[in-house]
Amino acid sequence: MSVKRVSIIFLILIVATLLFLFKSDFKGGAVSFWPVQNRAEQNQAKLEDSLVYKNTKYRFSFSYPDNLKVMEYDEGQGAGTIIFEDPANALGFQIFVLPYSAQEISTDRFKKDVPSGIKLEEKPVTLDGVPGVAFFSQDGFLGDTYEVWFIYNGHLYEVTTLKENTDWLNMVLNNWSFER
Amino acid sequence: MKKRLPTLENLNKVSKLFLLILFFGSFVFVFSIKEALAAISYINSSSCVSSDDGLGTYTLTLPTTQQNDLVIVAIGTADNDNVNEDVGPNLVGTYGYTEVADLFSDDTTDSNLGVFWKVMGASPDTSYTLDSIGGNDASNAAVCMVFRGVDTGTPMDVTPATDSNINTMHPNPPSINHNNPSGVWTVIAGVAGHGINSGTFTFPTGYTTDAVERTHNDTSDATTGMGYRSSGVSDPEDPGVMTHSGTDSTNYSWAAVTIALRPAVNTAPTVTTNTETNVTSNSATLNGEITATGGVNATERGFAWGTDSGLSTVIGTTTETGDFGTGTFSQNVSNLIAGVTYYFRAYATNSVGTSYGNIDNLVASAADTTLSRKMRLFEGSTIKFTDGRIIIHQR
Repeated sequence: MSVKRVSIIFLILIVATLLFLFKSDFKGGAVSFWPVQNRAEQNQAKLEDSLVYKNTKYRFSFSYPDNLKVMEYDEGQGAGTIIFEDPANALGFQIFVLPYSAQEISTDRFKKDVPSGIKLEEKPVTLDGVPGVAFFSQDGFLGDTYEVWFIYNGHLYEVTTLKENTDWLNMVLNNWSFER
Repeated sequence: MKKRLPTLENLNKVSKLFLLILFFGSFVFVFSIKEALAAISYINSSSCVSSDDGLGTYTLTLPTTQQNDLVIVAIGTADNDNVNEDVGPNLVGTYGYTEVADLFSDDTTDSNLGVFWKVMGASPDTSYTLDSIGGNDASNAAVCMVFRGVDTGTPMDVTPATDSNINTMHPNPPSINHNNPSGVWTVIAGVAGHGINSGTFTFPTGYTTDAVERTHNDTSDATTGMGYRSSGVSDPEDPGVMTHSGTDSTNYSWAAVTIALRPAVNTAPTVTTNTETNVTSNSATLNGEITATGGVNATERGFAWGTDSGLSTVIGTTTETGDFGTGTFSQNVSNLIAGVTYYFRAYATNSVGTSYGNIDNLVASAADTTLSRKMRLFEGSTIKFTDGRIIIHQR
């Protein structure tokens, strides 16, 4: 076997190894995206075993993994909080709904609900045709968070989860629908 | 084995007849709930006379009336000036009456008779100031009657019949050929001009109940009377003579009117939905108005509201019971959700049926709350990051 042939075989092996690393569940890198992606994939099966949550007060519904416990809180003044959580698997999210007359989220409202004032990587999102905004933030208790906020029918919706659950939450919110 | 449905061809005659009755019966039912013939009823009467000098004004105080009641006023004047007097001009000009007749009978003692009608509005009249006419030797006597259930648009079924005569003081209300024998009432009014200072009428058969009369004594004397017949009204109806109790004379005269009252065709009230007020994030005041009673006051009014634009299903109704004529009304609704569009309409019900106003809508305003978000996710737990993993410890 010539040196040239050995080199070609070696090069092919290197390329194949690299391709394998990109395709596989590789956790050794410093990029945080990968673990998040994996969590979403891991929970894909759980979302398939889902229940439908329907809120008759604010008139919306979506499917959620059936391992999540649901709790609702009436916060007064027309506001409410709905919790979906599975502490054992560190999965969960919170929906805070409040009457809101403005068409855009004011600085005052943002500071009132996010005392840290942190809003990173803001990007537009759409929920059942309703425009909103998603961003990373920080909460004194939860730490790094992922937030999806949108205004619909005179209400501001603030959906919060751990930053690590970003893709998982996006997957849940993908089947959100408003009762029109 | 399939069971065949019956067809018209294989139904027997009895079944067909039953279906026919059901079909036409349903039409009768549908139309009967939309309108109903009202029965006329007598409410009350009153009378008055002018002062003895026949000058100045005098007051006719009405019995208690309500909206849509028909008031008929007859003013009789007797004098000896041979002048056709204009009786009760201010009833028309000031109080909005319609003149039925203005009669004059010229003898030694003249008779003048003015008859008028008016349908009471939402704020019924209570009294009228009448002008004395004919001078200081004249007599003025006025009577009135109140009826309910009369067609408010066209209370006179046909043009009233009038007559007058001299050489006698016994009014003879003329025959009237009315259009609507079912439920029609006839009213007669007459004045006798005489000089016997007093006296009363004996009303003809069928007209004696509740008949009212008043005599005014001056140089010339007037006796004015009014009566009605509620049953046994023929077509044409010839009431008969109002016989005066005094000794007759060729110097005396009379004038008389016969009226056919048309019963009202009552309908359900007419209702409009007005713009909402006092809208908050969870409540609002709904407004409506009964613009027409349909001939009989409503006994219930309110609003139906919900989120369905056609209100085929409603979240709730607000109901108020009582005796309601025309006018606005309001009711509050609560437990609304801010930002949600609510549809509502006013309604009112009387003995004939229920009618609805137009469907309006409101959006409960979404005033920004003073609340701030409370983080309840994993509340009561501790969150730790270990080896790049999140571990939540429940307390």
